[in-house]
Amino acid sequence: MTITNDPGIWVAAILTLAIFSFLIKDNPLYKLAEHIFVGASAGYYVVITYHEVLVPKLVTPLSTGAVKDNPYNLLLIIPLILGIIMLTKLSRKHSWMARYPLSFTVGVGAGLGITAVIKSDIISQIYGIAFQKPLWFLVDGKFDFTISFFNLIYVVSVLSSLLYFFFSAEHKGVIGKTARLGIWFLMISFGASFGFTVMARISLLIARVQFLLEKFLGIMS
Amino acid sequence: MILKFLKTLDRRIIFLFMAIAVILPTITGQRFPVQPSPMTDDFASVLKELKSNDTVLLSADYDPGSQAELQPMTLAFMKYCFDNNIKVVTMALWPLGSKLIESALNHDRIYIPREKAIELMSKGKNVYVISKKRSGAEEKIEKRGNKYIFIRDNNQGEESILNNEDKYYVKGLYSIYDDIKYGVDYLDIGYKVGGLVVIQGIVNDFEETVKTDTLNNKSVLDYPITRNIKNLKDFSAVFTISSGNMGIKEWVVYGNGPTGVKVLSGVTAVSAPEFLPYLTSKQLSGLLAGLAGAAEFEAATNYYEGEASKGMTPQSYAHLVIIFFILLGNGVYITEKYFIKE
Repeated sequence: MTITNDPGIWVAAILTLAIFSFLIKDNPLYKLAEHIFVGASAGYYVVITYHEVLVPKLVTPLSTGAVKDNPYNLLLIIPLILGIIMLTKLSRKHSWMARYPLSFTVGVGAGLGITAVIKSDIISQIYGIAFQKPLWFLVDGKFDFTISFFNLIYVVSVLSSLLYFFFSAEHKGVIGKTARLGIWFLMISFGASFGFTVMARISLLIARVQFLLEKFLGIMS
Repeated sequence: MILKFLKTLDRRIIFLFMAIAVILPTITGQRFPVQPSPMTDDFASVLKELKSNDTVLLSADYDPGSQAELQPMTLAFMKYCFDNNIKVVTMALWPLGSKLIESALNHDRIYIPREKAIELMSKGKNVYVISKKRSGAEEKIEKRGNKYIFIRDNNQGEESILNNEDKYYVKGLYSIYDDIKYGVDYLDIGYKVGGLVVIQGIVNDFEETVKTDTLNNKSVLDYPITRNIKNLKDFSAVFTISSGNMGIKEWVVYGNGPTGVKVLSGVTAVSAPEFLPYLTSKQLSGLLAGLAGAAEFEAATNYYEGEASKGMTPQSYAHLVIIFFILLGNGVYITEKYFIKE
């Protein structure tokens, strides 16, 4: 074991341990690390956005030489003004003005998105369940029980889960029992989602532990 | 008495068990074999359908917050492409995504076997070692005559031998290859602001949307790799490594929707269930889910000593701890409800 001499790794290790200290109890060290993280992230994003967005997309095209070469660059003044108006959100008195650039953004998003989303999230999904999950699945001309069985479960789970959210008929009799089956499928899917979430969080823990052991403490597995 | 203790169990005891479950296997280096799941096999088979000289678009739509799960996917994917002469154009819909690609190419540890280390040193590449018998810290190896000198922190260095047990690595994928040329085999067009507007732009006109690369700020038409790329359809596949909006959903809806281009994706485990329906409807051609997906992909592509595969043993032990405490909690509940009289 040899602790590193790299000051960058020392800072990262101390901040990592400060964050982990929250597991014992909320404390000032944790708060400090949290604030450093939020501040550093925000600062970094500002710098990146300035250098990779504002300068190449706005400042440079609006410079004198660029405008002379291409007078249409002057149109960039419109998004510049809209961007500045967005900052009026910071003032209570003038925040209403920010609705204009926001409505423009929402309008563009909706205009670009509606047809694509209908096609991908509705039509393709219905096509997928209706035509790509045959209940009688053949492999080389022979009936494949496993795939057919899982396709059947897939179709039943989709229909029963949808029926659970169908409130135009009372959930009694066949509809009630099918909706109840739908709840079971929903619960199973929530369980799967929770399992994935646990795996994701443990993955982050593992990465920090590997960092502390290998790069900071120099413990080789 | 025991029941009361278990009912009021301090959560910090659970944290302690979890810490032990993660730290011990990391120190001992125990490895469980990783077998690719059918989902990862499908992903790999789509990749294996790609031919030499095909061009893929890699979109790094994540940031350091999800680096632990997603960076191994970036490394394994790019290595597979470089090994198989598949050309890669990289971009990012997230501001820090392109920095992570740069890190994969120039800074991340890429472990190599001893023989490969010797080969790379003979070509003048920088090779590093972590030797268990020596300090356990990073040392650079220099070949002087027939001797290998291990140098730490710019000191004079000491002669040592290359053991099979030691870990050898280079920094960045670029260091492994001699023949990967920027602009021919790989091009970075960097962070593109605008999300779905950018994707729609690439769907219609790649050059008009992207214009220049990041490194030299030259037109993409000046590079052989993108000279014939007119729009998204000209890519053989898109691989989005995604941890939220903008990312996988936008590439499926605005990329695959209008063009039918194959979209592959690697996502964080948290978001994986949300995108499984795209996989079953074949709008998504392949999906890697979280660290497990990354580890399986490393196994499927024979990636040497991947970070994701290393993490799967502690992951398994951590899951066992969780299962144990779930069973314990349920046991306490059932005992109290059915076997303890008021």
